[in-house]
Amino acid sequence: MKKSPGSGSSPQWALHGVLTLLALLTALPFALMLAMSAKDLGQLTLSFWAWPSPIRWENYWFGLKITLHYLANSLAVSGAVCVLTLGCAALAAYAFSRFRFLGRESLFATLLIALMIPSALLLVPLFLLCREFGLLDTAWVLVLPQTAGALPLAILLLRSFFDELPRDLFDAARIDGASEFRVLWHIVVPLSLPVFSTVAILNLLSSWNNYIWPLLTVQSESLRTLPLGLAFLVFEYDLKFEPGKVMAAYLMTSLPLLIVFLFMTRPFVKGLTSGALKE
Amino acid sequence: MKGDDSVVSPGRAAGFLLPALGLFAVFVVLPALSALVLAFFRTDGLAMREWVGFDNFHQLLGDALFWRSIRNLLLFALLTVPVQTLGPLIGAKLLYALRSPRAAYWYRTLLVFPVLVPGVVTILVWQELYGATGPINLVLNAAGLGEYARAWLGDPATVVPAIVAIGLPFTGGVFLLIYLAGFLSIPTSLVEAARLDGAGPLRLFVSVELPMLRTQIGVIALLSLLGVLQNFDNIQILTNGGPMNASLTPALYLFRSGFEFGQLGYASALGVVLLLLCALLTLLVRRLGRRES
Repeated sequence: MKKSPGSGSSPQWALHGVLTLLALLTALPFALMLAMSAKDLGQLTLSFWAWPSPIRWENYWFGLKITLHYLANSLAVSGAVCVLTLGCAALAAYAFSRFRFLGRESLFATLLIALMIPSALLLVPLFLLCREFGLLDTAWVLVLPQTAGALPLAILLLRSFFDELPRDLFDAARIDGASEFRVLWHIVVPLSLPVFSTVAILNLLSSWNNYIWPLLTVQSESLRTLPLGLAFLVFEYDLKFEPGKVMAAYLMTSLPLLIVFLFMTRPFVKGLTSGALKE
Repeated sequence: MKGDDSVVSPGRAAGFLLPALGLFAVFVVLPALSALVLAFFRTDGLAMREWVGFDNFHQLLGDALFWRSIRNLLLFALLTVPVQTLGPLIGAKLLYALRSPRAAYWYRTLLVFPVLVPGVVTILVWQELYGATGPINLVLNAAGLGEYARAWLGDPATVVPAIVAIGLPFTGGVFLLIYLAGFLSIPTSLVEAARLDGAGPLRLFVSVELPMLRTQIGVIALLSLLGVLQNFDNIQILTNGGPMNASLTPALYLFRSGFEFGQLGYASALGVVLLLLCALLTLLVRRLGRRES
């Protein structure tokens, strides 16, 4: 992080104190999750605050075993949604930015209006539509509607970035006789990686966390995504009296993204802030 | 590459637009339009339909449960929007004031990491914490405050604050990053000038930094408000609107009308009202923002 000019006057030790307190408060629920995950019911009832002895390693093994399959599903769905969104949005944003055609701005405005639609409003008709198409309980129903829902924001962010790219590049490419698709792939995309990462991160976070849509549209256990699998965990595996095991499962499913985050904090933070809200 | 001399080629534009607009038309526009139509029908289960004009909207106005959900929504918004708007601002200010970039980096990581935990995990962990024999009540009992121990999510008096508190301490998340980027884009010269004029840290914050962050504050307040209006999945998991409808919001009421009670028309009417509310608020905030700048 850049050295900030706002520093200097306030007492640094007080800042460290407050920030440490905030960091502890932020971590507290997750620390409790960690602490509970190492114990069995007996240990949790009799000695909740004590150091776990013995540590119930089998909880973690169990947690991993029953959630691995949900993790894999979520990874596949989120990956597919992300790739499809980026691809379709890049093509469309390029057209909005580079081509002149009748109704361009009104079409774009329609996309912006869609950003205001509460997702709850769409749930009912979208469900009926997918049932009509025979998509319920398939992988398609998880991927296609989520992609479509993510497109307006993605196109908006990509287009405003594309609009700022220097024109000369494109004229040069055009004179060289490059096709529009080649210009997009070889010039625009490499120059726009920051905004692509912004869109990708926002997209991944929202599809990774989507709970309601899979809940409505997926019945088979084999298609359950992570949020759905976790919400049904206690019921499905009869874990009402096994909070330790449940917490261990939650912990195991939180780890993949956290580990990625730990190694990629800088690009993540940059991606979230650079492309999006530059004004 | 903005400008009027871009390539004029409707045909090629269509090819580029087709995948995105096709998906958008089928899975967003079509459902949105059919929601508007459905709002004027009475439906029975998933099949029977009958045109009823504005009946659904009339019924909504006389529906005590709807008004209850509006009241709950106001409480949610009142508790959520100020802390979600100001908390991350304070967090960002603290990080920005740190002299050591290394320390700032680590504090930022610690404040932001919950974003990466699946939302359902956070919610379910808190559910455990709020449980009758959960850690919160254990602490209260141990501290001799056992009379305050309760099923936090099962008590109409505490359910809404308890759900809002899941965001504690409200200083992190994506909003923090947006504010931080805002702080870092304030021109150094401006800060130096203010300091030369003898402005203390507080004065600097109020007279220089806050005005420079007006856009971010507005955007985040709006995002927070729209989030409160639209989100219902955490409430659905935690309480499904209970106890005694004390945490039922309009979006959750819509969801339950549609999928629990099969009143698709009524649910759609509720959705249209929600849409109008969202649009109205967005326009209002936009206009306020424009007038100020």
